[in-house]
Amino acid sequence: MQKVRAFMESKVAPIINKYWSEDAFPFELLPAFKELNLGGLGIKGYGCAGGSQLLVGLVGMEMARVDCSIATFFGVQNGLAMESIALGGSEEQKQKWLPPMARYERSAASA
Amino acid sequence: MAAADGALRKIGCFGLTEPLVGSGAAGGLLTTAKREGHTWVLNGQKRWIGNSPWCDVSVIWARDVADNQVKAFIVENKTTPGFSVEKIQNKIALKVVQNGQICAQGRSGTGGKPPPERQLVPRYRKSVAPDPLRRGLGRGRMPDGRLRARGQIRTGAPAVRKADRLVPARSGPARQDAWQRHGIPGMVVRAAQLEAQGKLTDQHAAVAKAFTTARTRETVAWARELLGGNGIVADYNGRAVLRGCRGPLHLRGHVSDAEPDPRQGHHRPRRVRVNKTDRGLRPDRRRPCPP
Repeated sequence: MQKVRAFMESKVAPIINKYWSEDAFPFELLPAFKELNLGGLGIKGYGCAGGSQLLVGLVGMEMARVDCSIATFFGVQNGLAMESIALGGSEEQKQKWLPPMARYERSAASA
Repeated sequence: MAAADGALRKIGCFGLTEPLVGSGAAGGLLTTAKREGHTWVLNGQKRWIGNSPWCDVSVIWARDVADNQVKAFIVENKTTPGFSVEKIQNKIALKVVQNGQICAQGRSGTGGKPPPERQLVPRYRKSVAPDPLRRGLGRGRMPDGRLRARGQIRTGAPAVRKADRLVPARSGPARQDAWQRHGIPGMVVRAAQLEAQGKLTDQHAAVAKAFTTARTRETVAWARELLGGNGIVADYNGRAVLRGCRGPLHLRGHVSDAEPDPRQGHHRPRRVRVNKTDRGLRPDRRRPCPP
């Protein structure tokens, strides 16, 4: 939670107005975003971060505290797309999609 | 951006909402899915799909023409023939999120291979019900909670005397403050507890989302009022520190992102659905409406 808050305040807040005004997504933030290791928060296994749904909500809250759009980006990737696959996907689909989708957080460590 | 070790980086999106029926999963989805041999063929349009203009994989909801059930399909955006995304331009809210209008016509998988798509989540409601709760937390509600709107705007100037407050202490802002500090967090935390116990129903989720979105819109309206003209200036958010804030309060995020958010349209349909369910009636079946 503190990492998320620090990320939002130190990395997102200074630049997000520019992107907001330009209708653009801040791809430059993705490497630092990945280092938060939030991939698959609330999902067990498949390289996902795990944790409770309450934690997912609290993390989203911290993001939205600074910028609603970043919270939405995270919510779509994590809650909607990944969780749909985790809940209803076949074993094959989970193996194929969840690890790389979760790893998007981690791959930045080497990016 | 690609990692040196070749690790994939996959970003996803969630394609439920349609131009003509909104998020009409309960009955109105017009996008169809048809099984043809080893592949599924999807036809239809989706709108307001966040991340879709640039992401790698989409979860697309469509009605199976064989059994009329709404099912979810995994579609690879960049390699699927007939799958195109047009970025929605000129938004006035949540501008950083790239929303797209998706047009799916034709095959969603290559012939001859085993189907990459298959039925995902028939238990749609169960999977989606908790989401509004997380959204309720994640949509900027709590920062509003720090809007201790006692009429004392701190912009570097000394706090005004009680008698000179811009807004009476016990008027709308104070009420909104209570909602944001206690009402909304209490509701979503309780819902998360119910979910953990396996007791969360669709009605719980619908009420929570309706409540949080309605209260938040009221709050941002008050935030706008408190800031006067500066409430519409994006650059002003850093200055918009109200009494009680621990950090910069992004009024831009509140005023403009919360008010016209397309998802706020969920509010009334959800109320209807809950009311009907409470009366023992069939939950709302959305009808197509003109764009």
